[in-house]
Amino acid sequence: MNENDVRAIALFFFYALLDDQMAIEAGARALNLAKDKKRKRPELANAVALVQSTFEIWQKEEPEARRMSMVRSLNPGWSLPDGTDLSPWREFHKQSDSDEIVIVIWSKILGIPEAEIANALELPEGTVRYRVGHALRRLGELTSSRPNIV
Amino acid sequence: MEKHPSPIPLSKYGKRELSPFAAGELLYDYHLEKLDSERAESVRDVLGKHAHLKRDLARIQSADLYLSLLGKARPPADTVEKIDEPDTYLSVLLKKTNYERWPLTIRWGIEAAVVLCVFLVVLIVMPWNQLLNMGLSPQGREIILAEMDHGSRNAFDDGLTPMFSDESAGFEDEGVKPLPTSTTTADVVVPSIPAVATTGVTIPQVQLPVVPPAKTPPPAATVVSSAKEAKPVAEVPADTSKKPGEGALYRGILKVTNLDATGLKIIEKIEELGGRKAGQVELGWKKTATSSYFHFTMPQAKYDELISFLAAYGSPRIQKEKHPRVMPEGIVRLIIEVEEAEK
Repeated sequence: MNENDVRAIALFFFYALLDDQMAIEAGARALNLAKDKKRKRPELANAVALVQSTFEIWQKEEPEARRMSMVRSLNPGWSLPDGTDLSPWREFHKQSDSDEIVIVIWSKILGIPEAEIANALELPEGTVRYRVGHALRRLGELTSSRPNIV
Repeated sequence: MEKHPSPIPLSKYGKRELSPFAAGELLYDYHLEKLDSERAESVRDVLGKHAHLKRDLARIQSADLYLSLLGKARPPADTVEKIDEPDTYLSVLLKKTNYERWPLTIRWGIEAAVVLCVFLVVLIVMPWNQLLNMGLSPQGREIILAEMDHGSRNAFDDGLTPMFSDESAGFEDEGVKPLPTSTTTADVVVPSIPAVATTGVTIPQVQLPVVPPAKTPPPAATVVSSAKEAKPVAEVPADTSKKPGEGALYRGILKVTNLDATGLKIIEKIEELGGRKAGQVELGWKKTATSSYFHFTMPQAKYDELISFLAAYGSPRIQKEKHPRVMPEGIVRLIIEVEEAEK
């Protein structure tokens, strides 16, 4: 796992958990898990190992993340592009179910190809694409109502 | 030959028309430009006719753009470092045991147990006796049996036989009044004790002057006056291999039921075992109405016998304490207080 993979894991949990401390802890666990997977199966693509490990840790952390949603803290050290507002994402995070959130992060934020996501989750690629499309419509409702966000 | 009609309803141009529902499901693919040209054209046609599909497409595009911006976020360097830093044994253990997910009461219980263990270890390991001796006033808790002037060791070098010198020391706790005397320490004639001890000749007891504590000469310069006390064992010089201040004192308490009778038997036994009084009071001195005071020296070899003798009358509690006075090899010094047991 290279530096880009570590950064991708950090981004994943930052957007999935919306809490710095939890993101660091979950990220460290996911990275170790991904390394373990690579050690056991060296032929495994980094993206597949990343999706599998982040998904496993996310499934464990999600209940706690939902419970702690009122006391989240985000480090101002994160640098977002100018003019980018996180409020639509927060709203989307509240409204959407778990599958949509993680699939959108992998596919649209981290840029992992849908075929590899489907391979990692053992799902048909069409299912992945359908979920992404569905999630984009929901998020689009939030972003298009605030034209100055993007 | 007549052409067989197609089962699929086709438009008049031979194209299959796309329903708005199907077009809606293809919107994301249309946005990604993954549809073939014919399908893309069909979706485009439907979009022209249905405003809500157009709105959906705009939402998908807006969300896609927004997410691409979120993807450009850069995490702080320390966050990446923390995620990538190697695990410690403790962190691995905590992760493996899922400690964070344990019930709060159990976690608190474990933490309290750890703190308690640390506290107990400190309590057990710390040399409290020494700390108390250092911290509290030594005058208030200790009985000064003798003060040895290490600077006067030349007296030993001068050929004087080193003797027990307890008699010369002042004992604050014994409450002994100095005997009237008209002589001074300079008048004391040192008898040839070794000769007395070896020949067994009884020498008439000489009343030696008791020097007030303030004027006490160095212990080595004082002598024992009775022949009984001049046993050979008492003449063994102090172990010079020991450093000053490395001596020991056995101090203890014994509770008996009949103090008067038992006290006499203890005196007899001590004398039988070769013990002799130390300090300025006689063996079995009535310190209070319900306690007797035994301050004596005796051969170390007889110590166990004495303890077993005392055990017949009660439960002696004797502990060895460090003391600046160094006793000769094979001799131990004891202070035992025998008290009347409460009925």
